[in-house]
Amino acid sequence: MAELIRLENIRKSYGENEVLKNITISIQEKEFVTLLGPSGCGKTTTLRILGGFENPDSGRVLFDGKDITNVPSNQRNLNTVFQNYALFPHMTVGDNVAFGLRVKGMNESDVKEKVHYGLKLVNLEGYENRKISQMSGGQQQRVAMARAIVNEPKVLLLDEPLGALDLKLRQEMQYELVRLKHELGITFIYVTHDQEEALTMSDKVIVMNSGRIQQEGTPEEIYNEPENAFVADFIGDSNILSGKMVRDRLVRINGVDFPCIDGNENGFAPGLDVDVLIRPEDLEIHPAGKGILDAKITSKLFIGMHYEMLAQADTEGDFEWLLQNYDSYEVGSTVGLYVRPENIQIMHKPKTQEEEAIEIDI
Amino acid sequence: MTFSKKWSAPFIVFVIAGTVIPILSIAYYGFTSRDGGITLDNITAMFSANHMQALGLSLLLALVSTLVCLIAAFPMAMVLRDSKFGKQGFTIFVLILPMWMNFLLRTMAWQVLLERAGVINGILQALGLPRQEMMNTPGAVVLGMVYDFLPFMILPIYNAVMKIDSHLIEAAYDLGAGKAYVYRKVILPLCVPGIVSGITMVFIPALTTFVISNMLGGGKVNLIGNIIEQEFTVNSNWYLGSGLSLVMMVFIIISMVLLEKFDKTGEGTFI
Repeated sequence: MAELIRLENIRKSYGENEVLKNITISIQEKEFVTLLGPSGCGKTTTLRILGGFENPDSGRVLFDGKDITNVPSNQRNLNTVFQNYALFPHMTVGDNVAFGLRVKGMNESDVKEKVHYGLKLVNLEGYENRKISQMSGGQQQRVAMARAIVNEPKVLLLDEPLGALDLKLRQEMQYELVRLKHELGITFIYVTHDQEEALTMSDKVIVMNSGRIQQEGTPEEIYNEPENAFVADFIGDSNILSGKMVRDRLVRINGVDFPCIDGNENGFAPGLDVDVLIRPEDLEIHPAGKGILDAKITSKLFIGMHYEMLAQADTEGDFEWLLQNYDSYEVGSTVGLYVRPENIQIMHKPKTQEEEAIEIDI
Repeated sequence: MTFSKKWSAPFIVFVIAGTVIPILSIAYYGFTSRDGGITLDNITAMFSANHMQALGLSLLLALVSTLVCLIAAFPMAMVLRDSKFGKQGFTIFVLILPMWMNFLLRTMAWQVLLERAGVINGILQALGLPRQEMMNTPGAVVLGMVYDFLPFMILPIYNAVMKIDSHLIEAAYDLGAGKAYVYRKVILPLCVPGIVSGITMVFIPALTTFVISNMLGGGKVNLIGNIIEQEFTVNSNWYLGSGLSLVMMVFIIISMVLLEKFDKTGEGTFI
């Protein structure tokens, strides 16, 4: 796969507010890339710079090796699906989809054919003459997709396109989007704050916070091997604790020693203060005394597929562990908790003030 | 009883006293003659040469001033749209400030400016330029109409322009459109309700005004409004005045129906 888009050292401020602090992103051809982060992290601004709606204060945008930093949006070979769809309310569904084609001066019979093809792709065949106001939110979303797709862009930019839909429809559309991406064979750049969307659809996830890239990698890498506490906390449920490396492959958390698989060879020297991530589903529940530490169940919720429980450990630091288990344990009972060494994710603590700032609560 | 039913009584009284009775009495006078007989003479009088001439001039001046207002208001609304939030409010405030002044006073101010010995001629003279005859010309009347009615064009268009979601404009650019195309296919069509509303609010008072033409036309610019006014005041001929008024009403209704054809959303017009 060849590199299609490169954002190089992008900085952007609105007045005093620095939204993007030196962002560099590389996107390969036909990749599904998701920019993931809480609101205000700079993900939408990044997308708008790509679309040509904002100019970066410094840095370059490269497309197919060419510098397009100052190329206006109407001359870029990419199309955007806007968050609120931005469908033209005074036009029919068909005219909306045909907009980009008519701009190019395509003859009407070709336009008609293309519009038909576009609407068919998003399962809206025969809706050409409907008014936009007659379409439901999910249908409007599809019209917006069709309007972008018919122009055959090399890249489709999607700004939280599923944000306004209800849960069921959102899940359906996730499958649709992946199908569309494969059928069209183009690059998708997707912006969302929803970690589930990011994990299910993407080839690559770029986690952002406070105008910086926190981590980029496959969904599996982001989930299983978060590089810092922010990513760990933002993606999925988690127990994040402070720890100290005792020696290679042993970390002490709240006075209890846990065997792990990290050591000096990957940068965690004995004596180093670290952040430790343990996913709630990785905490195995054993009879009291049979785990690494004992804890008392303090609350229990039935989530549907599993039970979610909080357990208070009788250790230093008074930490309440979040557990997920298919079995139910009574509140008040004491259990033993065990974690396999490979399920303990050791992370570097933020070193500088700058890095500290990324650990905002979400 | 619903709220609307409970409180509708005063408005029904108002509509009867303020609309139904006056229109019926105008219709009565319009279709009768001085001796009490029923006649169409007051209606057909509109087609006499001098009345048709006045109507033609009225139409022309009203059209010209509506067009001038439109050409002035639309770019202004677009400029305001792009300016900062605080500035918008202030600019609109300044634009409608003259509306708080008395209508006669505002028009009289133009007399002072345009007169033979007025402010503008004073400046021209000081610069060594020849005096201009500006008063009592159709141009002066159009100027007065534009000055008095411009806010009625700006406000509805400004409202329509401000309502346009900027994402729509971005989407049009995103789909490859150039500036002119975006204006033609997106911005202008979305402003149609405001434009129709503005045209209605400028064209109708401009078509029927007699005060502006009296003060800035000095009797030399005879509009249909002046003729109707003179029938009621100078000639005390309520019958003819009412008849001509009825014809004007029909005329206005027709032009509003025509206008409504452009406004598919029905937001801008009142019928």
